[in-house]
Amino acid sequence: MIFPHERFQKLFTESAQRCEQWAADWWSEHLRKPETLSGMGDMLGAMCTLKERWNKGLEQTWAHWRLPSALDMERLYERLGELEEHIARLEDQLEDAPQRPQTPAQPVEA
Amino acid sequence: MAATQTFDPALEARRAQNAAQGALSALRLLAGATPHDEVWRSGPVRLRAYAPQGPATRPPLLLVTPIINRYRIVDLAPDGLSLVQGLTAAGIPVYVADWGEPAAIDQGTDFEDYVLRYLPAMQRVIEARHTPGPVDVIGYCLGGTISVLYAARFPERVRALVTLNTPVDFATGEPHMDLLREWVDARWFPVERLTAAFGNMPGRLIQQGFLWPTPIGSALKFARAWPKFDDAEFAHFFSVLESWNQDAVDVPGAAYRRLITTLYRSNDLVERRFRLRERLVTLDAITCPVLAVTCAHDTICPPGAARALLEHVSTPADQRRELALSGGHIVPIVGKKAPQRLHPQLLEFLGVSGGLSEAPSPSQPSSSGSPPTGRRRA
Repeated sequence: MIFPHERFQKLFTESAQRCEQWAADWWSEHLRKPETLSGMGDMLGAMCTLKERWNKGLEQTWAHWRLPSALDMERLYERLGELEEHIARLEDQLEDAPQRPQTPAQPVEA
Repeated sequence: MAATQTFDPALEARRAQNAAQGALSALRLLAGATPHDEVWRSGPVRLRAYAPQGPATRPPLLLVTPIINRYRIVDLAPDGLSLVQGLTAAGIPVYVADWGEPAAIDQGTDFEDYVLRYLPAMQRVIEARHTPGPVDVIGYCLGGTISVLYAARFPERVRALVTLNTPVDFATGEPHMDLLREWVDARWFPVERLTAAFGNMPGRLIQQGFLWPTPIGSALKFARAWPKFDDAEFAHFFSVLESWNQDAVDVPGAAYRRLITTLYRSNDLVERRFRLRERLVTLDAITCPVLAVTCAHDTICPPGAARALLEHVSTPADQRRELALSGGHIVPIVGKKAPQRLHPQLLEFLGVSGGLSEAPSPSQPSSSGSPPTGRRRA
């Protein structure tokens, strides 16, 4: 782009900056409005619905072919997670329990 | 703006050449700038070891990276754009916690896993390679929040804590943090549905959240940078930084849900309600020296949100410090001015907190990457 006249260029730059500032202000103002945020939330909700439907369709396809699906894997993860949590709780209990004094082993009588 | 702006083919060709060279550098640096060893791994999580330049003169340091970005932000490029190199140059063996990219199976990874499982395992590896004892911890952004939780849960394991632009108080009402907080309000942000549908929260979606408060600036970022591309150094930095910036990673669903519900929405950390495996974790449990690095124009973690840490820890007043820098969230930490403005202060703080006075760790760590057999409880 060629701007032969400095005055024209200055005018253009200032207008662009003003326009940009106006758009930024407008945006900032609207981004706090409950209506806008609610609309954005609805959009995210719609995205979730699409993904849920896609997941369900995939799930049904896999199930139709008697193949392990993502749902089966999820159940497996859940079980593993529960097991892990159980171990973690036991570890916490061990850590919190007072140290028992070590007693010498009693000889076992025949 | 220049007084006159005419199309100069030679200048444009130079800019294009610098842009191409910058893009090539960015591709070359995808695996980080500094040679290192991967000394521990669990699923997507890795511990990366960076040997000190010369003999080790200080105890090892654990650098905890954010969970929403790639670890290489702390090792972006050589020649002053690497925090890791700034630390290893001072004789510090540096270990970087890289959270990796979670797979579907990792969607249940939560803060408990980061604080009670991964970090303790990493510390065991570090102790096996050096000497047993507390380590210095530096955390960046949400990696800093995880470091803070670690220091609060295991105060005896952290010798000194440095937080780089780390949000602790999510309800300071500062610009953009308040906007982000408003956006994730339960009235309209369906975090449960999102994480249930996607498993892990898509990194691209999270990134949009940080761009939306300043959409015009974000949209014009490349156009505004172009005139500066005749400077090869700038072109290199911009390309490398953007290659990292655009390379967002997914966040484990459970961790993201926790971040939104307990930190952004109810500010549990400052309100003394944050629990890890049902155990209350409070900031006043932290007694080690603390340095909070804040940046004046940071919109992701405004200064007040990071500074709050200093008000809630039990560290003696003379060992609590704030390093206030100018600039935004990233450039003051990894930019070309960081070696002058940030690194000396970090090193001085680590020295003041006992780094130089302690016995140096072995310069040749053991080759084994596995944790010691004497397992310490997480």
